[in-house]
Amino acid sequence: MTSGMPPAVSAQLQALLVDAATAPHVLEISTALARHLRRALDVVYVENAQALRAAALPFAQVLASSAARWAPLATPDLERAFRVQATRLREMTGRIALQASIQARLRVVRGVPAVVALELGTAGDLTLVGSGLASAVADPAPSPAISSRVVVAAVDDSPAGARTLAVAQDAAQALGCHLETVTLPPDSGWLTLEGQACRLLVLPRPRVDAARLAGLRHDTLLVG
Amino acid sequence: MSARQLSRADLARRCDPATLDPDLPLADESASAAGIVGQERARAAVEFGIATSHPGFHLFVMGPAGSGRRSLTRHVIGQHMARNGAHRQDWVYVHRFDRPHQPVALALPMGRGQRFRADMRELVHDLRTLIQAAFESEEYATQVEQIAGEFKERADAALTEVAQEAQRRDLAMIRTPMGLTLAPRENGEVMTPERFQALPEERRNEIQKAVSEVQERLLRTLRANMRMRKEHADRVRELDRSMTLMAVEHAVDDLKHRYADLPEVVHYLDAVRADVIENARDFRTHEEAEEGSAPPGESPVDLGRYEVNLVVDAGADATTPIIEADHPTYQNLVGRVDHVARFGALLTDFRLIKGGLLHRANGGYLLVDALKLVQEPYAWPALKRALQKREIRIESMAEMFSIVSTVQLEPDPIPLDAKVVLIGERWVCSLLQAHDPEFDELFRVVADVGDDMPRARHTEQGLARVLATHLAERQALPAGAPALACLLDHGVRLAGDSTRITAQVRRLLDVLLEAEHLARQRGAQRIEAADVQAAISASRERAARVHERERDAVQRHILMIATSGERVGQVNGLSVYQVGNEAFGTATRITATSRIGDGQVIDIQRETHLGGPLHTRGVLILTSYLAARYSRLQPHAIVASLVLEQTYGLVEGDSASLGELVALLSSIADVPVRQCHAVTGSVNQLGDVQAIGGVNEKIEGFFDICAARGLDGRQGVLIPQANVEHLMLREDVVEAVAAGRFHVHAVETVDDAVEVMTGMPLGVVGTAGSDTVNGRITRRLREYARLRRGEIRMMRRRVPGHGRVLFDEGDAP
Repeated sequence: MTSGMPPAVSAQLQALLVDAATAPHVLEISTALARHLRRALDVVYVENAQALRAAALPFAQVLASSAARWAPLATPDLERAFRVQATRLREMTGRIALQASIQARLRVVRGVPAVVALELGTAGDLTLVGSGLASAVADPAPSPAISSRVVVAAVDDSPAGARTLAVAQDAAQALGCHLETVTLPPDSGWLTLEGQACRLLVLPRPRVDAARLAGLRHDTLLVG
Repeated sequence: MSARQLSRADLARRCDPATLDPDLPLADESASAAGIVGQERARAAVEFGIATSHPGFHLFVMGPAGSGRRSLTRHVIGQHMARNGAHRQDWVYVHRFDRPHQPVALALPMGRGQRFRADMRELVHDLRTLIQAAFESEEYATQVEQIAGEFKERADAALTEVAQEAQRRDLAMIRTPMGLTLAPRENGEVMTPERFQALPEERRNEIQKAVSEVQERLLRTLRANMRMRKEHADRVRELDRSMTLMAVEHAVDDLKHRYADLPEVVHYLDAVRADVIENARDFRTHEEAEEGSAPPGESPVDLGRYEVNLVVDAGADATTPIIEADHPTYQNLVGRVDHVARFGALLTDFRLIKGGLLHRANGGYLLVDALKLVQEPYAWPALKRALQKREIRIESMAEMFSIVSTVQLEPDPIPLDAKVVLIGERWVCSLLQAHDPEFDELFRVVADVGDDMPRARHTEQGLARVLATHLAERQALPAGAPALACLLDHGVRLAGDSTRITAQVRRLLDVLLEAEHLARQRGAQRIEAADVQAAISASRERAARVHERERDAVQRHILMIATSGERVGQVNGLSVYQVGNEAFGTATRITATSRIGDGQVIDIQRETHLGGPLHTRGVLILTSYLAARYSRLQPHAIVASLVLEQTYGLVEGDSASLGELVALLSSIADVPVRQCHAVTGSVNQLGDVQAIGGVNEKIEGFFDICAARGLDGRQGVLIPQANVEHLMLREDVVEAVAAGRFHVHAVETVDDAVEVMTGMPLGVVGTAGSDTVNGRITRRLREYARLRRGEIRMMRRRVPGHGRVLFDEGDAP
């Protein structure tokens, strides 16, 4: 990880990580975007507060994806797992930043991931959220060969929508994808992207709340 | 028959330069072109050995070094090949996909091995392009995404159902770094522990029960998802196969068509196709590396397995496949499997298989130095195994002796169809015949190249032509006929027989090249006889240090050799010794003493363990001769002692037995022996004188001693009559004999020798009255016998003018 003075607010791209499984994929996209947009990368690893609370319950158990049965879960075990995960992600971020020749840092926050993602808007205008935010089970990152080559921009008539379209164009260029645009329903309406092959979904942050964000199945770039 | 004094004509038969072609045209394509003259028997054996194709009829060509064994073999093979041609094949090793540790050996017609290797490289190159393109196609990406989407959807749906079930039961399904967990919810948030504890027990139990049930369902769902992942991977693999098949089919079929006449190759190409289809991913992730550039094991996806290792490239060398094994080690013979070190581990694969001499000679001929072969550990057994099984099997020595227990390559054996010719000295052949019963089964033809050959005009001319050809090949000065004649005379000397000439062309050539050097030094345009003579002398001089010391010792009477006067019981014997390739003759004093006794002849050499078995045998024979001739009807009442004076090493051979016998008879008869003579020859029990070796050197050795002291016209040498044909004496000796300053006598019997050396008539055995050698011996032996029986007593009386003389008791004055 690079060090030095933190970049100005507008010069940052924030990337939200919630686990190690989706991290490579999120970091790949965010690195490409940061490099293209000439921004520093601010990687935020969220230690899920809900998980900590669950671990404190007396009957808490955990099922690892490769395990054959449920095992007891205790808060100290989970704290340790968070620290280990943070270390791995820090190393991964540093390595990728070095390869891409960009400035990057990783910081750790604790909270509910979707809420943290929205709160990050106060520190920067672009936040990349991995698809794992919503998924109950960590999916393996799709291989580049089978990734979609489409960036979808969900826009409306607002200035935020225009800004979203501009960012989406940059993102499509950075990722070597072509851009498709969908229009958000007016007012508080929401879009349906079920079955849509999409490498990155670009959304105006004002149109997203925590529940909607948690329900998205794509890597999503929040603008604004 | 009495002794015969030899004339000049008997002493040397020189080669007449006029019988050689004046300009000695170089050898043509005849046998002499290969440096072979004569040797008809050996030639016939080699021709048969080369021509016969039966297994086990390999060839051992034995004979002395430099006798043209190798040249003869190569010449015969060349002629055979010219008539019959050669059937050779290219051999390649390729990867065996189902058992990588057992590479496959494929035979291809000569010249197609290289083509096949190039074709396979091209195929891999094409496949990389084709497969890469296939997998980068939109069509492929779409299909993969469809499959992935389908499975993801099914997995998500299953999980979503679990999540919905959890939600219905007011539970949250949360992902943690340790896995998934379930927790009760309250107002959309995970319930705190305090709040949970505050719930009534019944409610707590309900929640725990709900958690357990969802946990169970989630477990089942995840297991099902694992199965789905496997199914997904299978579907993708199947898609990969079908995509690859499209790319591979055409390229491989094209090659199969090209090699349709070679079923084994076609079979291999089928295996290649199957492997490429199975491992198409390798072609997609290895685009930057050229095939074969990375050592085995260096790259995780090494396409080197499609390489072709051309171990026998018969097409590369269109000449006759005669392979000469200069260094016939085990590995050089049967080949080896190399290893490369990578990160402390030794790695290998079929590409590191190296063919051996047998591979190179397959379909042709392998010439091996037999001595080198048997000196190399395990090389001889390996060669036998290969010949017995008629296949070349590469086995690691480490594996043979269980030095390493790691998996080793076991390449397919390659059928062996080569004629092996061992070349060596006779003793090597005898050694193998005596100690290895398998030798005769494998090397059924033994060609014996002679050390020499009959001396005839055509052999002299042939040899001269061969030598002239060698000079021309080396761009050396030419040799005139007189020079070659002189050299041929030297060849006769080397053969040790004036009717034969040496077959060791190399030794003659060495002399000729030295003569050429001398001629060049003096600015001559051709080699003259004087140059050859100088070269012969120089070569001899280089080896003559010991001889010179010995000659000096003789002249200073440190080594006592008399060349004039007479003495009882003392004879000049002759011996010969070898220094390098040079033989030197010298004289040795033989003395004998006799006295009354029980018939024993004491061989002091034997008693002191300085006599070899042949020498002892000679003494025993003369003892037997003595007793049988002179003591048939009376006790052999004599004890005699024999010794070769001033010899301090082992004495071997029976050529001194004639001299010993003369000394003994002189001692018994009390007849002095002329010291101007030296004698050599062996005797049998009947008194016949038999041939000995080194006759020329012996005569010349005594001549040199006499010449150094001054020839007085009486000195000479007695030799067996049977050796006269062997005479090829130095010109100065011949001249001295012609001038009557030195003599060479040929004797057939002991009696001949005794007469010449004592100058006294021999007389008749058993006639005691005459003053002859035999008369004196008869008288002496009778006296001894009577003394032994006690019939008389001997006494010494002083006789004026004669000192103390022995008399019978009754005869004493």
